Amino acid sequence: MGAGAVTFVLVVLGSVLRAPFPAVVLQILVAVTAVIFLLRELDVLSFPLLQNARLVPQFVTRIPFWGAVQFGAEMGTGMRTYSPTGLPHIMAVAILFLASWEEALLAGVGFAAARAMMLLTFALARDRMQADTAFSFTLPKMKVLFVVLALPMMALLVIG
Amino acid sequence: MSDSATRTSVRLLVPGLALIAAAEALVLYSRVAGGDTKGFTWLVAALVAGFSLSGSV
Repeated sequence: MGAGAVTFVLVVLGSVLRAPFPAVVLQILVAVTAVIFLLRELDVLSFPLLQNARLVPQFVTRIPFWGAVQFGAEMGTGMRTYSPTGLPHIMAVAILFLASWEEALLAGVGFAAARAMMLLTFALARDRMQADTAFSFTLPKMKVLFVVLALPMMALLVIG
Repeated sequence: MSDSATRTSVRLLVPGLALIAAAEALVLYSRVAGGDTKGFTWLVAALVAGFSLSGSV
């Protein structure tokens, strides 16, 4: 739900922003953005990420129904969090300038599925501390792997 | 962090990473085979981006 809302806003905003430019300009813009953020992932470049940098508050879990809705929305958007990576920023720029409605919706589904995978891993882990360690310490060390995984997908998004 | 703790935490991440790698391989294979993968490419790209954010709640 949260990811869907964000992609909806990005496409609405993007449909206005991209109107004056030919497709090739938008492709170059997204490609340059992707390269800059991927170089940041590899520690070649260093700059702060645009982010809210606030955790989802604990009290939402104690609010019946709407607490779950709020938690889902804030988790799904990834907007209320400390972001260790710039890859979602690349996706946001790509959706803003290149995605159709259908593609943006699928991107939202993919993002939400990835967020849900984390919660599922936590739920299935025998030792919650180990799961916490995996996501808090091990995953951020896999930046290069994520760059390798992201690179071909970003290239395909740009070339269309 | 000890070697065994690292191994355990990596093991927890393997299913998610394997799913992403398999989806990505499918996109690339379909693309090479001349299929239309555009929508699925957006989904997989977002899957990579979303999973890389997994340490954050």
